[in-house]
Amino acid sequence: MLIWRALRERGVLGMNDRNGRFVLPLNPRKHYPRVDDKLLTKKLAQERGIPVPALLGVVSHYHELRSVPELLAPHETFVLKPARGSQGNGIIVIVGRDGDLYRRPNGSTVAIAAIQQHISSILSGVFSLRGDWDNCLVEELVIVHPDFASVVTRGVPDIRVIVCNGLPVMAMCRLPTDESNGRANLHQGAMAVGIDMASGRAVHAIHHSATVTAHVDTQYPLAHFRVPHWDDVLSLAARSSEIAGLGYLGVDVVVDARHGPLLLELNARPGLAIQLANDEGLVPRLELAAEMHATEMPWQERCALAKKLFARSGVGAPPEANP
Amino acid sequence: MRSWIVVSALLVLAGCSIFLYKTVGLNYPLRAADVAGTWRAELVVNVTGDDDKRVVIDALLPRDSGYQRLLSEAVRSGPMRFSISEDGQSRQGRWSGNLARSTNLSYQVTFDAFEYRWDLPVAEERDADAYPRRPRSLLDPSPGIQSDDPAIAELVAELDLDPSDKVKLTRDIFAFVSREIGAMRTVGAMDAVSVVREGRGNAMGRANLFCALARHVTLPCIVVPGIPLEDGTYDTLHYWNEVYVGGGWVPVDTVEGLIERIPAKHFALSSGDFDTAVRGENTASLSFRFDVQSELAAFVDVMRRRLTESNNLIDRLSLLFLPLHVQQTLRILLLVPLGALTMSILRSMIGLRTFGTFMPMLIALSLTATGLWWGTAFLFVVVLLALLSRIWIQRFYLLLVARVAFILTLVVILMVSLLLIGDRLDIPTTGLRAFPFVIMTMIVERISVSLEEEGWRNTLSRIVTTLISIYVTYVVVQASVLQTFLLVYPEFLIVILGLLIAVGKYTGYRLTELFRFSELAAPKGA
Repeated sequence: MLIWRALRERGVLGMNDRNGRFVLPLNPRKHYPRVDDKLLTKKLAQERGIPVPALLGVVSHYHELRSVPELLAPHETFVLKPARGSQGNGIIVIVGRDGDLYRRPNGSTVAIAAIQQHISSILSGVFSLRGDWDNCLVEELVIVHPDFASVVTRGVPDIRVIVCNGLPVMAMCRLPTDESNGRANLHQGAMAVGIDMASGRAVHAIHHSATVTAHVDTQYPLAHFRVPHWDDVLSLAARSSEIAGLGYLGVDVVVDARHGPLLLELNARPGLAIQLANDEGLVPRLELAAEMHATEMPWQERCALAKKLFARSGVGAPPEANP
Repeated sequence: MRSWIVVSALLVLAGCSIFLYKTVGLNYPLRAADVAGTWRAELVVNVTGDDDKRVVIDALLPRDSGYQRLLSEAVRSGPMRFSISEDGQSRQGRWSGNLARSTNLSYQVTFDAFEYRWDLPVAEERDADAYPRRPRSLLDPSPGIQSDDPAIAELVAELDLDPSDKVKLTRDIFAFVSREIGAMRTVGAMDAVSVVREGRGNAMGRANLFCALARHVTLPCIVVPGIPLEDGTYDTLHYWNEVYVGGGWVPVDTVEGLIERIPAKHFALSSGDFDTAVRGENTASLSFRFDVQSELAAFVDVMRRRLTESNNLIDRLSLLFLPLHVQQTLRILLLVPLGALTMSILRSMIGLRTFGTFMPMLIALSLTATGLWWGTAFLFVVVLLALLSRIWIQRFYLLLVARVAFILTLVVILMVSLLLIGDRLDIPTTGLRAFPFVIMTMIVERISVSLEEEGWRNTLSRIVTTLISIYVTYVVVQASVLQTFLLVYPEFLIVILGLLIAVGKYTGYRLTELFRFSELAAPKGA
């Protein structure tokens, strides 16, 4: 009971509360396809001018498998992705070519036939959550922004922003580790760094739900960490809520070395671990967001409001000059 | 805004009102007064007539005896007429009439079962003429009990049975038949002589042989047919004997190896002159079964008798009026909402993550059929082997439906193998048929997906929580008190509806979240 009261006082959002007060009332079921289907998300984003990883091609039918070699021929690097996959399953990353063979991040190589086989699996819905047929996206490979160099040894880090009624309310950065095998998946051992909404600086960090102060692989002190292009990340999140049609949304963003922040995917039921990463409950921020009626505001105003409302005091300035 | 509270409260109130009306207004008993030994049996006869000939069905009925005291009887005759004839130790029911199509006849009886005991005296010498009239009439051979057959005479001579002391005779014949005559599991009529020829026999054959030997040496004896007193459905009978010694009928069961006393394990039909429980004339087809069900309480019977006389609508709507086999189905059906309520509490309030929403509940329900330990063992064997194969075939990247169908087939093969092994090793596998194989297939699929997506550590913890949910739900649903209670007071399903709305609107923390977020609850130093 003591823990219960402490959690209530700190405004920690529980699963039932999230579903009953936010997901169910704010997220109309009819708009779920917009976030569940990455191809649709991408189309909607491009219509609005929201930057996304470039789409190099789509394979939707088995008969298109034959033309896959021509489709891939012009590209040195690319990513194959099931449109309705989850948790990074079924994704194949190609980082280079050795003649006819394609090289993967771990140095192994695959032949075009194996790639065709994998695409055929994606089409048949092997990786799709609902088990239906699926589309295979061929995307441009994201190049991790150099600012992440001190906290990322492998894989691609991403930034999760919770957006409520159009207002970005909380953010965390997920850093892949050796343990997570380069995946930005928290329960596989990735780290989560809570991010100050005003400055993009780290406020707190966890690894397996326990507080840490330095990166588990590189030992880099996380107090110095700051998300590159934070303002653009924030505006990307604010604008993304317009295409989703959902009042309670998780926006996943990657920061590319060449293109800056890109919208990776949207999530209608974002998890609650972000509270542990920020060492702060979501409820007060969500209630504040509900009072603001920000849905109709232009995104610039919403970003400014989010920065003002949710700035973490004492984080605005770096602890010392940037290393 | 808070209209759900009103709906929820109204539903709970409605259910409770009906309950209160029944208990206070109509004086329904509240407690299932736990009188062990009260049973209900229903003989169901399915018969098809043959053209326009007059159909006659005879059935052996139970009577008040040392084994049981009858409390109530009820008959369903369809288009036929029913009558009961009693004659000494024999009590038979007869349905007769014209029957164009097939119909179901039923005879339902509730009774208290007792241990029957009649001790042998130290010794008794008696001539055939010294018996009272009725026991004396049971010295003659009858069909199946060929006490005058040369084979029986030869056996009596071989065993060197001394006809003078009836007590020693009883013990000798008992020792011979129970020890020297092997068991057979075959179903069907078997007479005394063929048991002698085979050297072994089924229950009926051995009882017939005992009887033939006894009668040959002028010991009055009868064969008693009976039905096991265990919840279930039976279409074959058990047979034992009674011999007239010491002025009473001493029970002897050569199959179970019991003499002088027989515990209340069987329900005795009266002995008759035909060798099955039901006999038909002019029938195109005839089959019968006994549905047996223990009553937690004489309570249900008391209620039943009370209810039949009542004209009150609530009384008339009681589920207790339904036929026994329908009630047996209902017992499980009525538990489903209770299991579902348990599951929703475990998930939404405790926060247990399980494989599948209602899978643990369905498994728990099937555990009530298999028994806890064997059920758990079956579950582990099937799921583990199917899971290993599922991981192995992962390499082929089969399409989803084909993949699941593959696992389904594998689960069925495993269940068939277990049934086969169980039959050979005498493991009780009857409940295995109740196992929800589709559910097991889905569990295998979910576990393997989870292994891939969440790693073995998370998967294992989820397997453990799934097992916890199964057992918690099992504890709730296996209580037979609850089954009887819901059968008498089904209005509690309405209460469950109300409670489910309340659980569905619960927005507090789940118990597991208190641990998950405990870091956030720790007092801040800074």
